[in-house]
Amino acid sequence: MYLQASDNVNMRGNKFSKFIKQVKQKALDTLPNSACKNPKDVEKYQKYTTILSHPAKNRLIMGATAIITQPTIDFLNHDVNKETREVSRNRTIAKIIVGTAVGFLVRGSCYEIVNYFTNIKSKNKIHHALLSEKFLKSLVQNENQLKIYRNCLSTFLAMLAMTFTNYYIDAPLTQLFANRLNKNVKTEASERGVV
Amino acid sequence: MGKLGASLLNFIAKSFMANPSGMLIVTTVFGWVTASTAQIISIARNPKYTNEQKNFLLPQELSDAAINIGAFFAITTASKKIALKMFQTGKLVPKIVSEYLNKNENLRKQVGKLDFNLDKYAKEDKLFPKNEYECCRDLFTTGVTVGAGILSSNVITPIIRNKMASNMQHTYINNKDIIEQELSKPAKLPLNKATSMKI
Repeated sequence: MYLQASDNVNMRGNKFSKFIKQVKQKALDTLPNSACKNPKDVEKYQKYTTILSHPAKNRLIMGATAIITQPTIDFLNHDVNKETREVSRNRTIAKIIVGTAVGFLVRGSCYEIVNYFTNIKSKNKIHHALLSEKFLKSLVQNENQLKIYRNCLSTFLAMLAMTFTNYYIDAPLTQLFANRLNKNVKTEASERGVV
Repeated sequence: MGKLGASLLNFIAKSFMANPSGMLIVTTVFGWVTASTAQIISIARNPKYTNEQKNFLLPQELSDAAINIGAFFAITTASKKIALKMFQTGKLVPKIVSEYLNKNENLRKQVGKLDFNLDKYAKEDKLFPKNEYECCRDLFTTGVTVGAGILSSNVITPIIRNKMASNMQHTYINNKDIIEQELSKPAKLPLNKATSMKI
């Protein structure tokens, strides 16, 4: 029986995947076995998960942390001159504030729309318009699944909506806001008294 | 709802309901692609920036987009996978699950093995503390994904993108200076010789 070229490739592939698996196993072995506290209130844990993956709240968390770290990093970038540093910091501030506000509004609105059209308690058929037929049973039986479904669907819709808002709202507003902030930035020429 | 709409809803439910953190990653990456394209166009069209500022801000935005998407995808996906694997292999579980595993010698031996997956027991074994396991697993995985996202896009990306953008700006300024110096030099060759060489 002769070995074919494809067998050779398969053998190499198998060896490689075995090697990767070994590396992963070694990495996993370095972590200690540990047991965390039992959840006192399962519903509370589920609520926290829903908050973290809630499209609008997630955007707010990202924006709130970004406004603390990013402008500071930009302002401490001594590889560029003071003027560029200030312009860059101002643009970052404008981008974060506008992006977070628009993102929060769009994602929040999408969530409300999805909520309205996935109301399983209502008898009106229009309120079931956005429910997945295939998964209807699990959505009706498990409220947590329904919450996750709402989050996923509203994030997906927000993603489509933001394809337009990024161009027609975010970018022009960022430019306007950044230009306002940059009014106070002294150019090198003006500092030297040339302008 | 038309057929297309119904299949889209089924697709979303099927792909993301069991994996909410995966959904966060996919939508965030897509969002950044469109947002960065819009910002790049906006900077290029802004008449209030000087050429030198644009030559920092444009590469800064481009690097921001590339690094943000790459770092976010790499760091959050890796962190999410590690967090999930820790739960699935029983490395990190609530006490009640640990007690369940300790009761069965066979299961206890498999803890920490890459192929071991507690999700299977949560589905099949009625004695398994499913609710406690799943709520801790989901909160931990989603929390790690959000934390990794913050670290990658709000700390790592701005540091790297600034380095890249300032390098690009320095290269631009150096090249500009060299070109300007060359242009300001008086021609060394007589005019007729220079033109003949050009030809």
